[in-house]
Amino acid sequence: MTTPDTISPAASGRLVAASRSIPVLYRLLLRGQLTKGRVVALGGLVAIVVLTSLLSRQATGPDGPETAALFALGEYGIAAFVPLAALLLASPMLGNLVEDRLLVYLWLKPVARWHLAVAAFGAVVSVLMLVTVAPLVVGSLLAGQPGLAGPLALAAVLGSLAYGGAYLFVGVRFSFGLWLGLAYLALWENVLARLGSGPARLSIRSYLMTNVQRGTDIDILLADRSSWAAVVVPVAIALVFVALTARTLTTRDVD
Amino acid sequence: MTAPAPPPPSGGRLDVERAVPVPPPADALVVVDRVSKWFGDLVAVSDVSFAVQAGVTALLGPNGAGKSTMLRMLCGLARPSSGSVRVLGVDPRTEPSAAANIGLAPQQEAVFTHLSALEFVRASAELQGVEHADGEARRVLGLVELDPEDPRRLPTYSKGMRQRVKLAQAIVHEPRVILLDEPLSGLDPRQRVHMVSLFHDLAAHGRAVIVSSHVLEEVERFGSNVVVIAKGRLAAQGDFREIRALMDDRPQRVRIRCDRPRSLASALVRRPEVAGVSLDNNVIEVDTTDAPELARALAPLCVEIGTRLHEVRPLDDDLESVFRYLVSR
Repeated sequence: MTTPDTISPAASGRLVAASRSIPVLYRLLLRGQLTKGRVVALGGLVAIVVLTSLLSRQATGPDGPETAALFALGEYGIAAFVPLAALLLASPMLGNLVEDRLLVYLWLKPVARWHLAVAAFGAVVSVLMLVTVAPLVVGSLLAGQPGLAGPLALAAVLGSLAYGGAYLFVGVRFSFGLWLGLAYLALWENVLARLGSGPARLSIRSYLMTNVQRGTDIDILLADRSSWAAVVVPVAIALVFVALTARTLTTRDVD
Repeated sequence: MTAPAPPPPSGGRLDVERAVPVPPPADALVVVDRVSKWFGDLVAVSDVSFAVQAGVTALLGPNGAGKSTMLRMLCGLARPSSGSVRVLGVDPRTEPSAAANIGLAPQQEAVFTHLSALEFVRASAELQGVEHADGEARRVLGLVELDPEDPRRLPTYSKGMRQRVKLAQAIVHEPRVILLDEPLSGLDPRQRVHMVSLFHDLAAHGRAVIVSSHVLEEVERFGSNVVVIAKGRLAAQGDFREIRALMDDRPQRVRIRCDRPRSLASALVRRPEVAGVSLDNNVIEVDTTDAPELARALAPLCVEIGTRLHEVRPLDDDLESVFRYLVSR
């Protein structure tokens, strides 16, 4: 060991620059999130997208294949698949580190807390976009509705940002984050949001479905936000929750 | 003495926290000033003050005494409910840059399941802003006698190997203050000797190495300074040899079984080193202020009154009883 007179630059009491710390944190967190259980669960969700897309092509009757595809890719794909995938990936990202008492190894570093929040968000969104955008685009092609591919991809990207940010925060803030996330999806987005315009404004789903609406003439439930809000609000939600995550990392005690 | 308390009084007694605050030494690396920490109604640490200079300092106390909570506050992981902690003059809780001068090997065994030892220590070095992180990680893994080329993931390591990995990540950035929570747990005797030698080597280079332990014999290896915490309070602080002497000096209770307990009890009452005698179901319990002297006197006394000894057993010859005594003083 060197003497204190020759202390390395690391011990000089400066914060490590974001350009150095965030890539390291990102790599560490990215590798840690794809556990066997999550890969199986995500694989199952993707399989349902593919299967329902194929089935929607065979739909007959007055509504036709387009309505069936919208149900498969919108109601399931955007309104259930994307948020559930986000819940699986984002909620345990920092939440598991807290639970397993591993956060200490990342927290006790000369690194601003927002670096950790941003790296965790980046790791979540990277995987989330990969596992949601591609299946939904492929699904729209399988369903014979290529015009939906673009709107679905945009909605999946925005959904990954908004749900990813929200569930990242919920996971680090609450020990029951997973259940809280599920309750939001099941109760708020599927029940309360349909009861009035006030609750609907607080539903991420309504902004995402407005983006899906761009690809079809068929009316979609809750897809009544303005075009700019449908893009800006999900991004704003992501930013707010990443900031809240950074704040939680600053204020909470770490085990 | 690492602590700010006045020199120890004669008689081998430790300094005990006094109500009157004493300014910390100018060269103190860590200063804890009237720190308390409570969780709801539970008081984990109560009004503790001490200072730590360069060298090895043992944070000693029974399980649940508040040692880990204190260590967490020393490195900023937990916010004191009242009072203040300063590491090199900086509050480690509010100033993340203080972490550059702090290395912590926590007690928990959990490790990153997807990393090898080298990857873990290298990541730690990178997050500390160490130049040549890979080379430094390899060097400290060598210091703790681990193979940097070992490709296995951390969960496959034995408890002792994980302890050494945790130590490596704590020192890879050469911090001034090193906090080690029960670091010898799980190590074999040879590794313990090596680790203790490493602690002293780190301390010899001007670092404050604070080692928590609930095992008195373990602390004996660290030598030098101790801070004793019991029931969340600072029970004592000072040189280890003084606490060892205190073990011998404190009142102790001894159980004696023999053929003629009434006669022996009567004889014992007259001994100067005996503070009290009780007789219950033909079992004698003696409170003594000098256990070694009582042990020397017992055999001749039994011969004198013509009784045969069946059992002589100290009832409180454990560390818990030492802590209880320190707290009750």
